[in-house]
Amino acid sequence: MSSNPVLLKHVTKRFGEVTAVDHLDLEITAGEFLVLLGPSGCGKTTLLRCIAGLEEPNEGEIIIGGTTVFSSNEAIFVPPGQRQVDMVFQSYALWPHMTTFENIAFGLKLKKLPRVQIRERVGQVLTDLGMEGLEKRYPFELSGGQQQRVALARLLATKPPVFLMDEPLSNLDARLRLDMRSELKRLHHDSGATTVYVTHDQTEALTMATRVVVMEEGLIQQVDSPPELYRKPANLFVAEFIGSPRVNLLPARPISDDQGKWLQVRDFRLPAAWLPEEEEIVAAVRPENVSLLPEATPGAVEFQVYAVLPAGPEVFVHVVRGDTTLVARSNPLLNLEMDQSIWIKIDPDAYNYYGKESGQLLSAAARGK
Amino acid sequence: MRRGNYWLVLLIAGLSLLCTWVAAAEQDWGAIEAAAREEGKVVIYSVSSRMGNIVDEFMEKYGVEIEWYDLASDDQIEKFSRECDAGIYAVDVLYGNHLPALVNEFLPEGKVVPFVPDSTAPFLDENEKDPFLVQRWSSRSLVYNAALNPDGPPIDSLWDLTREEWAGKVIHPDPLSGQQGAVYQTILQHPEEMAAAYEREFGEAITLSAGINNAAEEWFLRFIQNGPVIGSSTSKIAKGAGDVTQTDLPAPIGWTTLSKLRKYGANYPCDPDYAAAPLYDLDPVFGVAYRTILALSAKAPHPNAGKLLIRYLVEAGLWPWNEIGDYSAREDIEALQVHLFNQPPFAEVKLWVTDPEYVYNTAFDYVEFYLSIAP
Amino acid sequence: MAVGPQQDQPSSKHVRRWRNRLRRRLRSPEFILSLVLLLALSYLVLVPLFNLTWRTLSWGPGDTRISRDAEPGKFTLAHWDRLLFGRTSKQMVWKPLTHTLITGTIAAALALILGGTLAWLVTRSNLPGRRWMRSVLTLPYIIPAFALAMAWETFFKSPITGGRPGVFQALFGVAPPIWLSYGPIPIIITMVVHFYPFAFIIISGALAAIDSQLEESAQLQGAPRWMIMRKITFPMVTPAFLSSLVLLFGRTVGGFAIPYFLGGPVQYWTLSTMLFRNFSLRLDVNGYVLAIILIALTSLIVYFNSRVQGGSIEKFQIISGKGFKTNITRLQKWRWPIFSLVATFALVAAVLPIGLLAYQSLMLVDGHYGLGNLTAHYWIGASNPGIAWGYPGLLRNPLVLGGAWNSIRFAVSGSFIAAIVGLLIGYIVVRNPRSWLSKLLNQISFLPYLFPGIAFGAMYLSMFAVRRGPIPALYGTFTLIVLVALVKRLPYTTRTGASAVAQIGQELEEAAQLQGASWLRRLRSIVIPLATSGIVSGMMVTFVGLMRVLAPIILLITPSTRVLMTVAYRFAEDDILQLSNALILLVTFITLIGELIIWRLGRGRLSRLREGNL
Repeated sequence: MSSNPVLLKHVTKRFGEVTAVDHLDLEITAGEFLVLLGPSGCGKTTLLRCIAGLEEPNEGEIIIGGTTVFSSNEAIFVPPGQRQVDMVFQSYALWPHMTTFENIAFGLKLKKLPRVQIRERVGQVLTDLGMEGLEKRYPFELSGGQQQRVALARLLATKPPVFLMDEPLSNLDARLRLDMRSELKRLHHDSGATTVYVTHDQTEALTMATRVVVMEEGLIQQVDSPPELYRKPANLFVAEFIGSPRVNLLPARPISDDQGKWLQVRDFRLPAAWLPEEEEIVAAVRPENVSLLPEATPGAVEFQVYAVLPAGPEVFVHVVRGDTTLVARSNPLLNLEMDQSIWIKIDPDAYNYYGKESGQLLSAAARGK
Repeated sequence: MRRGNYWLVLLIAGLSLLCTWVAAAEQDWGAIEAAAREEGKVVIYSVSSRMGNIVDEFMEKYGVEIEWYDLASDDQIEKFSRECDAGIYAVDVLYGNHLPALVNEFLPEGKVVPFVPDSTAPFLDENEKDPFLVQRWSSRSLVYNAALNPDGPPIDSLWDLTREEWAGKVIHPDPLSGQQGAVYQTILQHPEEMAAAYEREFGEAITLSAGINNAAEEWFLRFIQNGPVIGSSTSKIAKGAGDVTQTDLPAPIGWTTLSKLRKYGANYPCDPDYAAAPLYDLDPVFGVAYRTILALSAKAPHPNAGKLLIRYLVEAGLWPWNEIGDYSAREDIEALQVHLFNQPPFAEVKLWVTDPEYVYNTAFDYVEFYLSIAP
Repeated sequence: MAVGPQQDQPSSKHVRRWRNRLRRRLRSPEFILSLVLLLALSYLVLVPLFNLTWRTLSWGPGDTRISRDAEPGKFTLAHWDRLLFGRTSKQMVWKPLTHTLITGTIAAALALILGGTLAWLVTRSNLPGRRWMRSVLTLPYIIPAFALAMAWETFFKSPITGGRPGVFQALFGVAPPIWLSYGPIPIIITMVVHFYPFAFIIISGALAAIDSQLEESAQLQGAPRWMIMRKITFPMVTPAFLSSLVLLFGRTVGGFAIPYFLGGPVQYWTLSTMLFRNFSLRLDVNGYVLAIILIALTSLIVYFNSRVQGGSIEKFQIISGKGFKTNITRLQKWRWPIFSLVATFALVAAVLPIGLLAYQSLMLVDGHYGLGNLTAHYWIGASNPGIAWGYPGLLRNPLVLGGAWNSIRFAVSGSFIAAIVGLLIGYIVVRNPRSWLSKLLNQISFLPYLFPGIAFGAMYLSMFAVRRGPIPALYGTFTLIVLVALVKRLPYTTRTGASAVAQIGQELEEAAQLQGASWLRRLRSIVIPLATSGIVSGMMVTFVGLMRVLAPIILLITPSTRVLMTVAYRFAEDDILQLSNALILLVTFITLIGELIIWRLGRGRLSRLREGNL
């Protein structure tokens, strides 16, 4: 299947006083699985609907597969049906008065395909999705997972070059959701369609995307591949939003003395591999980079165990010292008591530094110092 | 009445006399009938659905089809005037109780013309052919319950209705409904007679209340303040007054259309349920008479068939309307009630006749006056 | 704010922009349709309204009776000044206005509560016999209002109007107090009985469409029953509730027959009866002023309604894309007590008045209640000059038979067209809540509600008498009668159309749109099938209304387009009670049959599916 790139230029969408999407530029390359990620109300669904043509932006330009489908300057607006895109809705939007077959065949009928071909195509899609024999059921006779598949089948049947998905898994139970993730990923691989996927679930985003766009208040916070996003969040918002459990944030002052480079955090200090120029910073470190030691060692700081949260192959340990709380990922074999003392050690290379005022990632270019 | 109106009235009267004379001079009924057959059809706006009863016989006699629209008088006025203004001339004959509007609006505007068949004219009084042909007289009048008043009528004067013993015991149609408005307007038009009747009833000259100009207004004021009950239709009023089984005595006096007695009293005691009877001897009158008229549209599409139908409706085709309570305008056709129920002929009955000019011109003032004294 | 690189001359850019915008608009069937509807409604509604208003602001023919200075056609405020501030303004305007507000508001509120409760019981509970109950409960609306008022009068007859004692007095031995016979209380009660089916029909339509998964999920979270009702069920039928309220209010303040029969005897006048009295004296200008006050009054309610509803229409989309189930509430030990209550009510409000009418139509001489007086003459007898001026029995009277056929033709075609027009306007109003075009359509479509019927018909007679440009001459045609009735019913049809559309989740349409379905196709394949049950309820209300419509068409009827109610009206005027009662029964009967047929034909796939699912 062919795939089309999608280009967004300066797209702005306002609802009255509220700006849902704010001068947004984005290039979606052909064939990628792009996830729009953000908390609810960040504008991600609005952006998706702008691409689909279900909303008309106030300003900007949208180009799909080389065709300008929207331009505020030229007053161009190509209606949704002619944009080579299709969408899976959060609620599935199955037509309740049509059977599974009719739901899937609807778009094909509109394309005036011969009856035989329609039958064949619908059968094919249903087989692909493991839904044989459900043709004559009405939506209310299907389970949630089956309804979800019908919605997918409806999209696949017409083979649009761009797939849009608006939180398609949020109405499923946890297990089904996991299954569907891999299925969707496989589907994307097989169809090769450019996919734009909206979710507020960061795990979903990180597991499925080739690239993730993190949005907040109508603005793009960061666009990156999942590993990069995880490793180098561009600002405090992204740092906090990505990762579970949350990243540890330590308000710190960089200190450099004859013993080396330090981060002064309240009443303790931690060794650092490099230091930024700012006086006041926030140091972010993932739980997996926090090690727990049973006894004092050089560079380690004493904390008390606050809570132990086993999670199968790993254990997350909350530790406190005064006003400072940290989460560490640890080996489940470690035997810990509540309130016992423990020493933490942080990989000096694992920090990301953010300006205290700006919240932006402080560039590693300063690293040479 | 203002001075300008006198001139208008004189002018209209003169014109219409001229018209009648001209029309009368030209009535060649052989030619009219032949032309009517040629026209083949006549359209009439009829206030009465009994028109349906003569459709077949008219067809048989003259070969002319009657297309009749069942329309209340007010609706006829509205429809006819809209049609004329739009240049549509669809109707030939208007038949209803709309004399005030016809005389004051349509005649001066040239929308209708009077037509009185010369064969009928000799049998009519002046006020039955000037300006429009009157087919019959109907009346609104006071009735009492003859069965529950075996000694005869409980009252003998309109002024009795203002006495305390009749408070809340008179039922009348809404004073702000077309025909009943005309009834009270007609009474208000006769202040001297009302003053004289007062003296006859109470033996002294009348003292007027503040803001009241004459005896007729004083009567209306006292009558309305005596709390008459409004009945929602003249049938219900006739039934209410005439029912012999009622227990809340004295039985009320009712103000109704006289023809309603056909069902609610004229047959007493053969029909033992209702005994409403007219208060013929009331001083000065027991009611008000009004005309049901026939008029020809000025631009009638079937003028000859229209004339033929008008003549028929005051001759052989009168029968469906020769009913108790209605008096044929023609003196040579005796009202059924005179003959069958020993009732007085029209000439002797104590009724005032509505004056279309007066009713039309004082309509706004009447409403103002009524509302200013209404509870 | 610079947007993208600009190489073009600003002027040519502008031209292109406008050209594109225009082309886009002109290619959108929805926009074109809105525009066409707006133009049509402007002519059909605003022109009469303008005529009406202008007449109250100028001197007309015959106004020399009011003022010597009256010069026909000249502007004046004298009419308004006289009526609002004159010597009798209290009697003419202010008292009737107060009465209208009191009876109208209370009756509308009570009818809403009654209709809503019954709708819930019939659609969502295990009340015994709810299928037939549904039909019986709509009967009081099919019985004409004046027949209901007369039934009340017969039962609670007061000695002040003379005549034989009423049923109440016969049963209890004492005369009922006057306030129970006439005045605001009987007006309110009969109005509630007459108008609750409105709310009943509309709200049952909405309730039947609720996906009870929504309710169940609340139940699973442990919400108590009443809380679910209050927090889930009630908010979801809010649009139906609000539409019903507006329609009910319009009907109760505009209603004529009930306040006339039950208010008149004790001088309890309302705006509409006062309006009628002025028309009856041919003082139309007074009537027009009162009509405008009435129109303004309900426009306020419509405005309020659109304020409440307009902003948050999305909340009410209850047919979502997830399929649905309808569950019913078990009444348990209350099942039979509630049933007997509802059944008694249905008996008293629906069956009793019809029985009374039927009995009266069988009496040779009306008022004689003996068995010997029973006859079928008025139904099947041949013409007998001794009875009722020789009118033959109803079923032998060519007038009646022709009228019956016309009535059916009129009501069927009228309600069908009305349903389509209402759906289209409702669609535009609901789907473009922010567009000025749809706001305008919404407002205009409500105006004909309170136009005085006769005056409305008269204006149409003038407007369509001759050909005016693209507007054809419709004088004397069946089309004109359908048109005037259509416009008069517009407020109902638009509102039922809107609430039907409001229930359909927007994403259902968007999904089709993305697959390339044009607007018309979406309407045909998605909106109409899903809105069917709502449309059908609206159609039933319109059908009933059209079978009974009288005043607006009375001037437009020709002998060949006579309908049953015009014939019944004349019989009533001629005081042939049996014939007019028999005719009303016939109308009621035909209406019922028609309703059943519409119901069967138009239930739609969805409701059949749902019934199978019960």
